[in-house]
Amino acid sequence: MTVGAVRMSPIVAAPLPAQSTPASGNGTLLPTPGTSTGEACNDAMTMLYTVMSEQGSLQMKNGETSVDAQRTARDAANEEENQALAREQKADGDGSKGFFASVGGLVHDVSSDVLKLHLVSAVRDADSDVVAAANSPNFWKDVEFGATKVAEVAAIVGSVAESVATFGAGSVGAVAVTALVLSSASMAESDCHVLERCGVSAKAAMYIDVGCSLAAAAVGGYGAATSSAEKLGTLATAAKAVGSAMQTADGAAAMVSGGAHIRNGYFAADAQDASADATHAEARQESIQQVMNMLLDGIKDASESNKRALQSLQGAMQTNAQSLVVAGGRIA
Amino acid sequence: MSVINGVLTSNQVLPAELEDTDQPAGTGSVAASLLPDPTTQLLATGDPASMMAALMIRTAQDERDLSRQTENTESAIQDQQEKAQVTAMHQKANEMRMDAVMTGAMGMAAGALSVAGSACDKDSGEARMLDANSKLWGTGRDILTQVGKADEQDADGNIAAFEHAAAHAGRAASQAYDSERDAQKLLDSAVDFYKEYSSALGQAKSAAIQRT
Repeated sequence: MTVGAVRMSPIVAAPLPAQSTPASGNGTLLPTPGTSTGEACNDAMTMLYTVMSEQGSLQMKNGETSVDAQRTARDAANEEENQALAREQKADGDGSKGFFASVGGLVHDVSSDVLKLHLVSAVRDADSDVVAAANSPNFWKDVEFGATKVAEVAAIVGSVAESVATFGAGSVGAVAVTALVLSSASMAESDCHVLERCGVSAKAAMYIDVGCSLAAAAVGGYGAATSSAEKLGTLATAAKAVGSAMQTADGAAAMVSGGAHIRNGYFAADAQDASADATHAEARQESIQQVMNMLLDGIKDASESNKRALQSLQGAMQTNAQSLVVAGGRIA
Repeated sequence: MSVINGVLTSNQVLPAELEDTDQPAGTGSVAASLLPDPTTQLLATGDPASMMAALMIRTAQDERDLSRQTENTESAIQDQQEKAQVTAMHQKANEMRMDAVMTGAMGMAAGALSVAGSACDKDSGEARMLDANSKLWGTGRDILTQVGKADEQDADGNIAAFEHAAAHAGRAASQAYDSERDAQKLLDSAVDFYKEYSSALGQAKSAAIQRT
């Protein structure tokens, strides 16, 4: 016997059989459940059953992964939509300061800094306020509106001054004042709808507005027809100077209004772009949601179908076993 | 589930193999099988119940495939219309920028000419020329503003049309999906029917064998 020799040789651990190695590392000596190999699965139907079961689990896992991926994509699209909506609101001017608020803020910041002798802060605050005003849609809306109104008023006053210059000093008073009042009334009504706020119907207010304009033009025309060169005097000369000044103001205001109009157009276009991006993100979200619903339905259907298939196979296996029992009984 | 013909020794077809368990609804892909179609085999059995089940299964499969195809087409149309809507919105934004630049520049030009005219002698020809040019640019600005507004109305109309078409295609896709689900239920019912029938038939045969 080689007992002594065995004891003398170094002890070497025998390698473990492959089947007894825990596959999952959780300490069990049994093979991983569900593997379609091994002696327990040598029967064709049992093997098929195991494979189908594994396939069902795999389908479920794949479905969950797909749903998770779609959910991530939907969340990303939702975030994009929120950002686009925020950009749209900003471009629309929600919460932005208007002209007077911006100028008031600038004056307040600078004056308070100057009073505290913080000159560097004054410059910095002025710079930031100017930049904020330049990026504020409401500021530019106010600038455009104000410049347009200034241009309109300057045009009216200038035209009246021109009439005065043409009529001369004689009968100019009544005619000029009448034309000025009528024209101003027409402008006030068309811009502010004063009559409508006083209870006059919109149609009647429109007729009154048009009537004032026509009357102003008629009075001006009458004055022009009855005036003569001899009537020009000191007042006419002064009116001419006023007319020139008003024309300058009109032109300058028109230039400012044009610049502000460009800026406002860009703000409106930015809002439109942001709205388009939000629409796109929303459509993507809906599409992803549809795919998610379909995936969930598909997973549910696949699960039920797989269950039915397994039941059918189970039935076939039972039938097969019963047939074997019957056949065995008959042989015996 | 892949086709598993040959598992049973008889010429009967296992009901489970008639189902597409590996086909999640809505994927639209059809796995190609190298084995003959089970429904064709069922139709050739000569058994009236099996043939009826096979016909039902085939009808349900055809209806489901058709609905799936319709749904895919409508979904593609919906995507296309939504993209067209977004493109139209961006195009409108570009047109708004262009209009703003054009009208603003013309207004500024009119203002500059007016200022220049005011600097000249009122009765001079130069002043009249500048004034007339200023009014011309102002009129051009007004015309362009109205044209821009009309273009915006057109763009809004196109955007609304695309949106409406996308919504319509979405509803059609949803209906097709519902039809697909209904067809799937019909298919399941037909398979269940055949399963019950084959089970009862098997039990009857087993009882007959035991009796003999």
